[in-house]
Amino acid sequence: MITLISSDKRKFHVLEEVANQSLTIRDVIEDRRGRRRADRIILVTNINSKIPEKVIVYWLRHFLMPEEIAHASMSHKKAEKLKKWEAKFFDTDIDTLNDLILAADSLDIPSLFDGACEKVSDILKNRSAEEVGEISKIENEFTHEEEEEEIPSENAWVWRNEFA
Amino acid sequence: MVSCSQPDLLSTLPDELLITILSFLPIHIAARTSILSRRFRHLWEASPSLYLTTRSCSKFVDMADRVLLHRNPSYPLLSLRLDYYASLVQDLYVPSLLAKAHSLGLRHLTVDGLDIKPILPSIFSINSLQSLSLSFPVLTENFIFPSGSTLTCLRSLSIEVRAIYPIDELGRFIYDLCSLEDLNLQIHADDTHILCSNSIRKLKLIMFGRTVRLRNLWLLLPSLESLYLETPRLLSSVFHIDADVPLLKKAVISLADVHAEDVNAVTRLLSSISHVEELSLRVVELWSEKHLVPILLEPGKDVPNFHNLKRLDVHLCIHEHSFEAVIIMLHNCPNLESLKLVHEIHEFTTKVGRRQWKDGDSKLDPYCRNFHLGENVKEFMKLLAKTSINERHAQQNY
Repeated sequence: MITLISSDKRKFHVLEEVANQSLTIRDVIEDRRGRRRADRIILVTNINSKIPEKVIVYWLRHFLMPEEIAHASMSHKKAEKLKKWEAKFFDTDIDTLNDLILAADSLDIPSLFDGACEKVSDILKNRSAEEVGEISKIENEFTHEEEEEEIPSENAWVWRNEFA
Repeated sequence: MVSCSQPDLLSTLPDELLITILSFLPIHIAARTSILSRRFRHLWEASPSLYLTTRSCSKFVDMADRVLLHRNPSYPLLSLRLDYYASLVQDLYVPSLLAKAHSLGLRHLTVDGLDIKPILPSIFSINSLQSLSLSFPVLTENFIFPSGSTLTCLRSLSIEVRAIYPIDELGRFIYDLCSLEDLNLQIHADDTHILCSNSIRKLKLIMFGRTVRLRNLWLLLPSLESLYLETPRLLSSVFHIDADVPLLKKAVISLADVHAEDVNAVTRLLSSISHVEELSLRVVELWSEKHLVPILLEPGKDVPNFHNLKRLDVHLCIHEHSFEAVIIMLHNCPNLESLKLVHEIHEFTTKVGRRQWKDGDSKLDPYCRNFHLGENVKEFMKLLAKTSINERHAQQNY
């Protein structure tokens, strides 16, 4: 059992096998192997407070279904089920996804990282640039000329209607 | 530390994470983010994976020029997917795209095209490739694969050929790939197929086609651990499958339209893979047979001993002959832990109807589910043997 401490000093007790899904944590545990118990406490302060719970839920779900099984012999039904579960898991607002991506990046959890990135890109897909700007609240600091002429002509093929 | 109160959400992420997000988008959608803000203006260009298609964009050349040919050399390109169906692309254009991708250190390539023959040499010259997926029709006879000995890093290969004509030299091409571990072949059934490789661990082989008959299939794969084999309608040809696969652990075998004369081949195949731990077997008989034949095991011959088998799935139309064969097979599986029997019912049309027994359909029902045998194997055998009489009645009802 190892203990994760979040930025708001909350403690999360997780089985080592479960937390091993984070390659960062696995490396830390590996480095400290054989030392005192106090060293089984890991600070994850760079992660937003509500995120560890989500990450642990994700770990637990995937712990029950290891990656190799998922690819080799998992039946079609189980794969569907996991897919459905993941769709539901990632179906949150873009704030949470943002934090999940940061957490997955710093803790090095490849499947969570890819899943969250894919979800964000799905949100952006088939939207106009204005909509994307609105969703992600990106401030448009281009000058009028840049926005109207320079940039569209830079990639003329992007703005044709045939993509629709 | 990220705070949710910050107004600009995506921009809190570092560039490399944003690039990953953009790489999941089709390139023409990702390119639209260039008008979001100054930071986003050139961000999309660094996406390590590109998907270029002629289907949605008649200005294929404009797009490919911008995102690939004029790509900043400091952005590595890891994966490229190329779909081209329009003949408007000049002959030398696609090779020039591939050459550029090569210089950017391409690792994963997927090509789906109409006439792939002229560009094969330029694909095979990309020696940094780790995975390659090709999908194309063969439109001319004497389609010969060039040598693949330059692809020394290639681990995963997938070839799907929608073909009328067979391909020559495919076996030699595969033999030349010295690091290949994962092979996925969907090819037209030819007279003879020989697959020989020292490195392949995972093989998925799907053969289709009706006009050409498969007669011989040799699998000489000393490192193979997982096998998926699907054969086409064998159409009354006598076929032979020889497999030399000493390390095989898991096998999925699906044979369609097995004829009475093929029983010998099925038995031989089963005995050559009898050391597996997991076996999933799906056999569909040629339904036009007037008399049901024992297709699974040849009568009067030694039955292979499945001494390592732990999991067995059998999908077949259970009638009196095949049922006995299943029982004999189970007797030879001393270490079986899990068994799944699925009764498949064929319709008289070309389609194969398929359903599992439902509650109350038959007394065999409890055995159609996954369950653990443990020490009850003998008792189970008795039960199976008893119910076989009832089962015959059930069979007549369909």
